Amino acid sequence: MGNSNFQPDLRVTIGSLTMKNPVGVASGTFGYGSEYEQLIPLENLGALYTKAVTLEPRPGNPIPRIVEAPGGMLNSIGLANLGSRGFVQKKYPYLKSLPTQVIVNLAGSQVEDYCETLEYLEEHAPLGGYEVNLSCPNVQCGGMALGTDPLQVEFVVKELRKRTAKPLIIKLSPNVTDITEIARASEAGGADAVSCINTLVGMLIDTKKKKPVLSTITGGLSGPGILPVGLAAVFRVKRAVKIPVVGLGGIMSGDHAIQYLLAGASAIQVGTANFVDPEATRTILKDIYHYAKEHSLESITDFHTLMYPV
Amino acid sequence: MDHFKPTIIRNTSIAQNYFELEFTWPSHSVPLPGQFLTLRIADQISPLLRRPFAFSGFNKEDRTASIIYEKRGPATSILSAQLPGEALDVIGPLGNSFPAPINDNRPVLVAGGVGMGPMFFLAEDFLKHNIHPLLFLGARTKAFIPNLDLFQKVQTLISTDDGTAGFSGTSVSCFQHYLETHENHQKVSGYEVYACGPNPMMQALDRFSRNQSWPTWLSMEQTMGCAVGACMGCVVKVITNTPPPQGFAYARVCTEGPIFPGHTLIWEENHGQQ
Repeated sequence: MGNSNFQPDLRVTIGSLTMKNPVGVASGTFGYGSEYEQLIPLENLGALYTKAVTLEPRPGNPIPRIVEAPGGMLNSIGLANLGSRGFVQKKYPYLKSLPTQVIVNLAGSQVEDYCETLEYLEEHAPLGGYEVNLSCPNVQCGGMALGTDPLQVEFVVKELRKRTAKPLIIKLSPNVTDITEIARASEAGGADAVSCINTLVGMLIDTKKKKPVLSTITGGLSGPGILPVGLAAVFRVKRAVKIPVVGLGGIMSGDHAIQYLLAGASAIQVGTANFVDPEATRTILKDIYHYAKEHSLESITDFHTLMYPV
Repeated sequence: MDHFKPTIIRNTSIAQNYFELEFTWPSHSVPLPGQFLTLRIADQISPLLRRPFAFSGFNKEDRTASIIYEKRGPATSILSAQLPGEALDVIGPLGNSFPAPINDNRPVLVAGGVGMGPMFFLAEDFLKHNIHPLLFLGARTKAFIPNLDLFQKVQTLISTDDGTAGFSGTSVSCFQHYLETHENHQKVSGYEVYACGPNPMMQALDRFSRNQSWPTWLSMEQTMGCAVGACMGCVVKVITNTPPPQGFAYARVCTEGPIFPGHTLIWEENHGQQ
């Protein structure tokens, strides 16, 4: 393309929040940021989605919690975290100083848990916004159960909406018949955006021991193998709702991220790739920028109209 | 910790299935005995996750480091085919390290299988501080025992499960046999036990040394996701004094470990995990 002075504006707006670029790090893969501060400059991140925070501390699931799978990995961490009070005391002071948007990932078992956690964090740990995990496959109740029923989703989002003016991003599970239904319910409840997808339910079996590899039998599949599933979800959800869609699932490279943007994502999250290469976000952002420049895309929304009309 | 790409100096077989990989260490950090690194084995989708390896040595003057690994799956097979001059993708050093023995305790180092790497590093480090440890090295059979110069410098007792070399039995029973026959251990003020090996070996050792009230430091292994403390994947179950609930917690091998005091481990759940 001709104009070498052309500078794409890759900022992303979700509700009242602006991210400096579309590349975030997915909840559960980046802790609370400090874990990676020696490896990458955190100010380059568009957003940091924290490890899930629940009202009370959770020890997490028994061992083993993690195993490599063909094309990815399975995990069953079980929302191990310090709880909302621990988060405020031990994680918030660091997070509030970070030069990037920090989105707190909320998880719980019941609607009341989500509301109470959000109220507590609104008062004691104001950060950029919330990603609501209605889709964790590794806890007994709530999480995914809550996130698979459109009526419950709309209800919980409405309740959270009453309690915060900050961006509410609802994280959707691929483990449903129709993900667009849940996306529409989130929008109807007043969500500012949806993020999709969370991990897919999967299992692996140890044939020598003749038992499941993970302690919880099934876990959540992430990694490059789920890229097509995430892309299809984003593509369909984008066409079902008017609110922005944050795309994630299997992004290992700039090309993968660009596919999400073309499918309709306004921002993306990098998850498992952080484990493989902590500098993945930097490479991905650079590739998105060059692609935008090469195709004279002025903003992220220009990506959405680029693909052959479908 | 740093993320960098050092160069392979040597990648040679030291015993059947066991390799020693030596490489440059351009980082300013100084790896300590017990610490580990992660390697991205190949720039491809499988094997995907980085693999953890304990340091088996570090040379401050030459700025070189080494690991000992066992060729046992696709990732280590790829690694074993890498040649001097090729680059590695390293994050390290990671985790905590073995503490010095308290008072005049004599260090007893117990290594099982690939757990020999960190024990060799620790033995070398003790020698530099003029401390003379006892090294017990156990393997299934003679072919898995390397022949190293270290064994001339450190009192080393070898054991094999099939009796083809050294003591016939486990490294733990070799240690017990040693105490019964070779030395009146009342003479030393006490022992401090350091170990790395399969969990059944470490559990047996922990049970024995708890009875003797000897401090015991065990290097635990667990499948890792991030290896920097973020994902909570590589945990072991440990005793705590405080909630969350029922006096236990899951401690991250990559961050709170890999070295744990034996008496803090809850073996019922940790047993059998590799």
